Amino acid sequence: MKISLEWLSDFVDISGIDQETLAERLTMAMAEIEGVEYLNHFVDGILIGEIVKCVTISEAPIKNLVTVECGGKTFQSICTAPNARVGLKTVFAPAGSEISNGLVEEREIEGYKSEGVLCSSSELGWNDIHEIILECPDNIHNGSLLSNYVPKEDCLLDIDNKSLTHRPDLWGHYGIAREVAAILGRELRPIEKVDLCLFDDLPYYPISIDDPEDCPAYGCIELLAPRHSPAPLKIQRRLNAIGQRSISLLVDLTNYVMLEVGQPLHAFDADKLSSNIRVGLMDREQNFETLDGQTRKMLRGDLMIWSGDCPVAVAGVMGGFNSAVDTKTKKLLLEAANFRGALIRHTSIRLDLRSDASLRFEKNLPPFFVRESVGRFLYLLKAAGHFSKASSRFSFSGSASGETRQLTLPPKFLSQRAGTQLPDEKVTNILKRLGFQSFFLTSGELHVEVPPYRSVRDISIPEDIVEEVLRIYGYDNIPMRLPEISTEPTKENLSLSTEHKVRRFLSSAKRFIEVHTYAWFDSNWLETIGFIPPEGALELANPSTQQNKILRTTLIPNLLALIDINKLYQEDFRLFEIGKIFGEQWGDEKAEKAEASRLAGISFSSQKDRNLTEHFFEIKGALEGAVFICQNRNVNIIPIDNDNQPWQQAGCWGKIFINGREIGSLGIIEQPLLDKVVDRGQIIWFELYMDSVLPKRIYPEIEFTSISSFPLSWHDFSILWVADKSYGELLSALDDFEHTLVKRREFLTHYAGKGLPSGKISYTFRYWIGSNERTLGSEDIIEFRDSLMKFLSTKNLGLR
Amino acid sequence: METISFNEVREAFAKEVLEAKAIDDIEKLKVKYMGRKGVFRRLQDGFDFQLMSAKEKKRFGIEFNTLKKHFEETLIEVEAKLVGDNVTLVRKIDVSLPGKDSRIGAIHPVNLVQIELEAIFQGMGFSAMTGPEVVSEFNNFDALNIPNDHPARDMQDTYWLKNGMVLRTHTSSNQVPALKKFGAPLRVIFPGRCFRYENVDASHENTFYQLEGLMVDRDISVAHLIGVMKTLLSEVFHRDDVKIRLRPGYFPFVEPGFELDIQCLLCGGKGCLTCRTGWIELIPCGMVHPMVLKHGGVDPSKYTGFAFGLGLTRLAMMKFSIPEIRLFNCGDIRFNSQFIATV
Repeated sequence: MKISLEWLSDFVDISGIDQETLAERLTMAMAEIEGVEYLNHFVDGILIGEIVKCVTISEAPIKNLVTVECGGKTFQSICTAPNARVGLKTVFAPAGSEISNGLVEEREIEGYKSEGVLCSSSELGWNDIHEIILECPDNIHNGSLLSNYVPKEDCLLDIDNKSLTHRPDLWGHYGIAREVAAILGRELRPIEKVDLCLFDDLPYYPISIDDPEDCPAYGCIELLAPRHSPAPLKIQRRLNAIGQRSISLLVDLTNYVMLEVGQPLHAFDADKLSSNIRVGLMDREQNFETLDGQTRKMLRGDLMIWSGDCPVAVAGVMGGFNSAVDTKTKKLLLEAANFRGALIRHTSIRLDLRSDASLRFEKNLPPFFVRESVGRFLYLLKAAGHFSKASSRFSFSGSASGETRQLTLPPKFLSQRAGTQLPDEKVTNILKRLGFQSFFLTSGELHVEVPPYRSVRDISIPEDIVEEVLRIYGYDNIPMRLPEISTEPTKENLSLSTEHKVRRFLSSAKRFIEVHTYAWFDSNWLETIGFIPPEGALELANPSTQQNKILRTTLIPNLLALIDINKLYQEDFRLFEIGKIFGEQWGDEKAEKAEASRLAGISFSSQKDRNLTEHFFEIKGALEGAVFICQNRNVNIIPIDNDNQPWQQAGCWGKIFINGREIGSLGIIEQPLLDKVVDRGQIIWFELYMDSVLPKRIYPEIEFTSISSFPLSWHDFSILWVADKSYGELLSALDDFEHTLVKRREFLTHYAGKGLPSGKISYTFRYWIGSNERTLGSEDIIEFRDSLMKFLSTKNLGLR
Repeated sequence: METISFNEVREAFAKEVLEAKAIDDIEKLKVKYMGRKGVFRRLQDGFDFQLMSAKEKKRFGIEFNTLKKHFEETLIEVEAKLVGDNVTLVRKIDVSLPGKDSRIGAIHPVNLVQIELEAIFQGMGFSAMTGPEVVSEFNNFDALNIPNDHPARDMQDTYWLKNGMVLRTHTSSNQVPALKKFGAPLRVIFPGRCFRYENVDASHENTFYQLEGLMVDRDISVAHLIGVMKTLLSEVFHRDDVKIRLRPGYFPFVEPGFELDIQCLLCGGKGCLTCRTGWIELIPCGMVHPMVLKHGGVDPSKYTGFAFGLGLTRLAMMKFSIPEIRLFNCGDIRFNSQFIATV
């Protein structure tokens, strides 16, 4: 929103303070000023004159030879504006004066003498509208100086709209002036209005409101339409400066009041209404022609203004064509109303009709403005020399809310919240400047009266008064303090600390790169890789695109999608992600926590000489390491011989267990999926349930085992095992062997091929044996070998 | 069998060393004398030890070793002279070749910042909590005093699930569950991922990270908020001279609400291309709204508190000079691999 300082000066003296400082002070105490813009206007030597003669000298493009009368002196000029006509009062820059295109000179154009320029608002430096010349009201004397009506310069403050959403009282110049006065400690001048009680003898204009929630207040007055005329120059200039087009006295004044008071006004042609107004919701779908001539589809639930049985305006958004004011309008119905913000917002967004008016209604305006704005409109109309005869009283329905509201703050409330001592006198003074009357009771309580222009949403609890006082007091004036806190230790968050441990390990020890992918799947990609999300997957009601509507149930597909975009830059890389997956199965009754934490990784290599098995076991090692650092020692992985998900292909993947609990899976990607993911290379993947690997806080976390002072000896055995069974199964068979001398069993190598009985694989293990009490003798070793042999034969295991 | 005497060898060597003019010559001498089929080997092979007495063997050994040592030292010396200044050792290995397996991976920049902040907050007595990303409308909005008709609840601002839940739009959704669970006093941070319905471009993302902080205790005031924020930012930016300012800001779950600006660290507040005004808007914060405390089961007449929301993604952009927000979720290793895992 733009605020003109020249306009603001009507209500508060801002002399003696430079604009940048003012902007800064408003930012610090009110709302963010995003920019300061300086305007320079051309006024010196420029006159108001009346066109007394207008002769067309060429048709296309139109060119008129115009004679302008400026207070006894006449000038001749060539003018191309289509609105040049006899009787028009306009602005004339005689030779020697300066306008935006430069110094005006006497010239000859096509044989005619031109003694100056008839000015558009662009030539005066107001804006860039240059097609038409300015139109001035009739009551300005010919020959008057332009400088009597408009300033030479102005300055605009640009306020961030978002920072004003909670302050509907600040959506006009007067509201800002009130703040400026409070912040600078200067006087706020009253806004002049016509007393609406003057019309109380006239008949009431019937208003009915279906639901006061949708329309808390509605006011209107019926008037004789003012003669069609341009608005006063001062008003035209101000509207132009803040980016509005000047149209006619009536339109300009409604806009002007909105930009000054903050309350949008609407004028109906009263003769096109059925002498009553009703505010109510649309009860069915219906087309409605708005005053811009467009047909809009209105839906059930849109708030409309009705007259008789006919909708005449989309409330707060735009009037109807059927009731629009035109040049023939004799009688007006001027409306000032107050609507439920959300209704206006929904309708205006749907119709793509967001205007200055709807923007204000969305903020839930204080009903107080309704009466204010009508009084101001009538005052400005009168000041412009148009006395409009009213044919109804100011009619009103709803809550007027012209009353103040009371709040009581407990003793010391303000100083406690601030964290510094605020003197009572200072508090009441600040509140007074903001228009709040207040006093301290002997009990120490502070009694505050909230003025009616501050909305209920904005000021309703003692904490709201804290903000009012402190922002004017100045947050910078509050000395900082650190809380005196207890020495109670912070609670450890085991899932966070574990997550960080794993991410440090994979990245710094195993050269994985951490990535983040989106929380949803890409359904096109899922189709490519042949993955169908399981039942219970969560779906977005309003996804950004339809292909992103299903929330991920596993991290693997999004990671696989990264291979293709990265393969050009590195022929070998490892990625991991720690993040949430979603699905109903993890939800409790209220469906919160419908999610679980996952760690997933992929390793890609397109190196020609890369050994796939080696590659796989490197990644498996990294994964096991990640599980080990979470203090889980017994990880095992069981091969699975069935297909499951597309990346879980029979014989190429396994499930990961800790102490019999499934905690994830890992595998190699083979054809046919491999071709769909990448044209060339190897992919190893894993996915781990983070919630299942969390360490338990046990005591002792690590238990020391005593170190023997006697030497160990080692003995290697190559055991033959059935080729179609896994190493894991052999291990669990060997786990049954218990012998007091065995300190450790170590896997050395495995061999399949020549020299072995068919269908067998040889696995070589090293057994370390020893005793804590003595050095072993040969009889101990013989005894150990015998019992191992005996054990192996019970399992039908032979040596190579 | 041909026998060579020590003397012959010594003399021949002395002559040849004198003639050596280049490193290559030294290499040749090394092969000739020390090599597998070299003079020393032959010298050794030329003696029949079985015919020697123990004493003879010992004398031979001493002489042999002395001579060999002399040769070695002479060769090193001569080589050093030939190589030039100060080189006293024969280079056995080019240690400047790359080490094996020294490559380390990377941690996502957001997580790098998160890890750092968690440590700072832990030092200040704040525990860390992560809440769910899929949350109820109540926890994301109602509990935080956000009116029923607030625009943030619209479909164009928030991702809604078909089951009526929402993808949390801020980590503030943790405030009430944490108050309910732990009560007051409470010092806690909530780092985590948030979602807003946005069209993705260079400066807008629908997925980003925040770190919310909440402190509730008796008599917590605006002065405390300023103190904690200033201390925090001094730690984050490793500077003692961090200047901050509070100005009015509006968020329904705090009252009063603030925008906290930090004085630009690049220009020191003079105004530059990055900050324009000398200040950078950094942390929305405020005093916890009494309705939020009530929703959390905490009595607002006994306890007060403050809350603040740090944009982790935004902080990472500042800290690492990352110009585009959409890089964070792209999974492009040219981006991700830059953030070496050094924490």
